[in-house]
Amino acid sequence: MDQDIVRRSDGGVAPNGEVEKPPVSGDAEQTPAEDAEQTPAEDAGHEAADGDQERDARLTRRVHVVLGLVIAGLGAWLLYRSRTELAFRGTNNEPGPGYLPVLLTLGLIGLGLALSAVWLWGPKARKGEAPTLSLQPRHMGRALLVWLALLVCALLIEPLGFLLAGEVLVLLVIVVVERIRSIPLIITLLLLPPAMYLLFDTLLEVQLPGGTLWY
Amino acid sequence: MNAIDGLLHGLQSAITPTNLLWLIVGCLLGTLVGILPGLGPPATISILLPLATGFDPATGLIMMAGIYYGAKYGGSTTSILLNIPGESSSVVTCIDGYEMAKQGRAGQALGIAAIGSFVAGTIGVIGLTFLAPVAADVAVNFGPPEYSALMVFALLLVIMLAGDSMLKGFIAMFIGLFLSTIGTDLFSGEQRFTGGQIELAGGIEFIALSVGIFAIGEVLVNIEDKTEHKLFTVPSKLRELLPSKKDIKKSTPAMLQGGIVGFLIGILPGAGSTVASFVSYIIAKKTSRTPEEFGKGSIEGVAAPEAANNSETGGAMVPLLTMGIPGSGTGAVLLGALVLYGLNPGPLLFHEHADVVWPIIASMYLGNIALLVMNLPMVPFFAKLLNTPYKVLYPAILLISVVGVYSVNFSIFDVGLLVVFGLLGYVMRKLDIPPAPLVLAFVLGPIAENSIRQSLLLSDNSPVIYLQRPISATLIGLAVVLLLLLTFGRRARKVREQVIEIDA
Repeated sequence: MDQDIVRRSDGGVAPNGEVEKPPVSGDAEQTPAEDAEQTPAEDAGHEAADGDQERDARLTRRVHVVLGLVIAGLGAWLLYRSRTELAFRGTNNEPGPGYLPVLLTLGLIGLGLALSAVWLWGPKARKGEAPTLSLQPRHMGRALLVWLALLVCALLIEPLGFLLAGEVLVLLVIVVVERIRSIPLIITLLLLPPAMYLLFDTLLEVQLPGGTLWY
Repeated sequence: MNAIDGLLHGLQSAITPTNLLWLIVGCLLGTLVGILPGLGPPATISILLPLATGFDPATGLIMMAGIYYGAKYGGSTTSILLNIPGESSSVVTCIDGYEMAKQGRAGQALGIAAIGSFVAGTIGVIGLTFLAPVAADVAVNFGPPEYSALMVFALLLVIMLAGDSMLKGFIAMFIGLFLSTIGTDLFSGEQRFTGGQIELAGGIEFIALSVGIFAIGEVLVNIEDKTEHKLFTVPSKLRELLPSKKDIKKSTPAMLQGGIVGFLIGILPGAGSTVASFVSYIIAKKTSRTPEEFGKGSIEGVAAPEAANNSETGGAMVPLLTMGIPGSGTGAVLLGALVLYGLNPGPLLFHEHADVVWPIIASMYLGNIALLVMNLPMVPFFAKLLNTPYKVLYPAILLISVVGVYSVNFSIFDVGLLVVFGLLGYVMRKLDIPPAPLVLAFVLGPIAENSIRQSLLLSDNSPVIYLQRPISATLIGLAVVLLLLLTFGRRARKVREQVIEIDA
């Protein structure tokens, strides 16, 4: 996927969750002769790229430290709930309902703290050699818009039914996210919810919500 | 009647024009329904069961075999094309299958999935025919301690899917295990972390979790950039849409290995095709000449789990037919169907109802053949789906996901969970936390917890029970070795890499 390749070449996240290392500054295949012929503009470009990389590395480090603390904090809260709400042992001293949750939350606290520690004091993180995350607000904003559209659709399914909630989702995608102007594309997208309704509800008899407002 | 005579008799009974017709109809229906996310083989068979029970036992069960294999293949199709695992056993297929689709090799992935399924299904049926009595004896010896040890081993294997950061892999695994504890505790009947929500009493719906984390998370990552073009490039030539001889040759060891591993794991009730698929994936990665390609679109990474997923069916039939123990959700539905036909699975089934049992086994083989004959020509058409512009495809994926999740329990609450887990999947990808360990740990968690607690109940809370029984002691030993390899093996390798870099 083209846009994916572009993003990944910036040191982004591969879809399987793995982060790719950002390219080293400058062209790896550049010869020394070419290197000597670099113009001031190219030098400035490389410096800017180095600056971006350093900023990304700093941000990645901070995010990981905070992430570790959040995981440890969440683990601590869940440990408190497990200890106070669930019995660790049963009546005959056998493992109770809180047995596994307590062990798991203790593990989460330890792992969260370990993650923070590794990114605070680990040699790779300190030297900026660790892979950086791709956390560009503009890109993430677009993803969150789509997520919000899905959330709105999920909230509207019960009162309005699948058909109308689906149309709301599609309209949000057309108008807010993609700003599509092509009429054939708009028609295709608007036909998606009725087509699915026909396939699932009518043909396959998977009863979809009809909407509490109407029924 | 010996095994070969029985199988020949079964084939003779099964190969009639009527049976073959219903086999093909079952296969087609299974593929069509199984392609919907959320409707894995158990749900598909359940939906179509009333159709099959209208026939005599042999014809009905043959049709169900077709439905089953069709549903399994349908699940693989969505995993490969859209990164939507229809059921837990398809999670591993997503890893390399979807990557292959992104590289314009969806056809090859789908083709190898069909061929791998056929090869492994054959292994499964051969295994079922000849090894059923021996395998059943071993399976009988699997009690709670053995299961606990197996699950600990399996969970450690999950970490091998963690990518570069083992720490993050463990975090994902622990979150998955914790999420699996939500719901009613089966031992005490107490509610755990349900917040008073009646919908959570039965636990978090797996399909909502897996579709949210994989499909929605993937969509959100993909649409970060404005998408004006097609999802992936798809070759226009038909020949380029099918696996080449080289692909098949490269995948053969993975298919054979997956077939054998899948069958052996399938024999263990409860272990299921999920464990089979990812154990075979790990073995394929470890034994491959190109392990670096795994996770980036390796054809072996599709062949191995798909093969294991399929031959597991043959293995799962061993405890089902010989002891009446269903090894999986599908097994439970099949058991129900057998009972509906007035057949009582157990040691006497082979003697009392040989006229039905052998045709069932034969029909599994025929189901495999029908799948290959029907679905291989359809591969290019499925692959061409990816020619659709992504801005059309992703709203469709979102809507299909909503329908798929809703249709499992007809629950709006599950749709809410889908939205929440979709965000979690996106955040995990952004933070480089691997999603596969979370999802697989979520599946294995309840089996692990139940067997650990049962073992400790049996032993008066003494963990020594794990070392007193040979199978569990061996598995625990293997788990310790694996843990050591995971910890020091990686470090040792990295140290070696650093030394090489310094030398260079």
